[in-house]
Amino acid sequence: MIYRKLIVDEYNDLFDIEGLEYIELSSDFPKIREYTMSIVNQAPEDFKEGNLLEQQISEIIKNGIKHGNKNNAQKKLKIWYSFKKRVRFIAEDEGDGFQNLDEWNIFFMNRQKALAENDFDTFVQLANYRSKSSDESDGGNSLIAALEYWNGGMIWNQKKNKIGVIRWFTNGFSRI
Amino acid sequence: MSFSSVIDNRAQDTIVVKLTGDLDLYQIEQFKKQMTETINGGVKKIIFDFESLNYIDSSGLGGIITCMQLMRSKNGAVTIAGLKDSPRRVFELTNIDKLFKIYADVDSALAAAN
Repeated sequence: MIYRKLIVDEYNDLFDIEGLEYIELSSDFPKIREYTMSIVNQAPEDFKEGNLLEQQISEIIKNGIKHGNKNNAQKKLKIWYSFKKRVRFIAEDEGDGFQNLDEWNIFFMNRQKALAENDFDTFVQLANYRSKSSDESDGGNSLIAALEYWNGGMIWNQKKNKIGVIRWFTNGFSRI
Repeated sequence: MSFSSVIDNRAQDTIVVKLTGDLDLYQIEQFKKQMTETINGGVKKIIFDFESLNYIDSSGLGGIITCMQLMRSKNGAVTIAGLKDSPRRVFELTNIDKLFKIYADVDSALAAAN
């Protein structure tokens, strides 16, 4: 069985910021979707795929503000992005990093195994990822969708407080 | 960005929950509260009508999954109708579409439920 997993690679090209736009966001939880729209509105219409691009970028910003910076308004979320021929996005928070990355990879492997083996009961149990830091509003599926959506890669730095992603649009644009 | 979930009792033990707008990180708490009360009230079948839902994120998706898990623990069932556009893509990207019977519209889901 082949399954994807979250990867740490401090020096990956996805962290190259040359030519990317840069903004800093305060960790204001109620503004997450507003922040997202201010970025996504700059993307070509064909990249938006309905509101799928918005949803994916919103998840990264939410993770940085909520889980990384713990909604501390004094802490910033640094964002680099580009919509030239593809979507590139980098987010760096001021938190301690995604400490459950290895645990999440094991969870996802077991989830994919249950799916491949048509083990429905186990798949139901593993439908949501829950860690010690999860709360009731955490859906647990943002990283699963992201692994599929960011088809050119999704990489963390060594501290795991910075993520770089890329989505290519091959064979023409993906339209809904 | 707004959201509403309107519950319609269509048949004995079966309800249709019409979702409208954006089911996201800001709406999920209220949605879960409403649905938990509804499920604990004894409903046996829930049909979520996605026809008018514009947007769903991982929080919203988690809310739907939680409903399914709670209903399953009570030997109930959740089905989905009218799933399309970006919300459908979110279901597919996460393989959560495999957890549900998904119908083109509410009438088809009701016919199957009955």
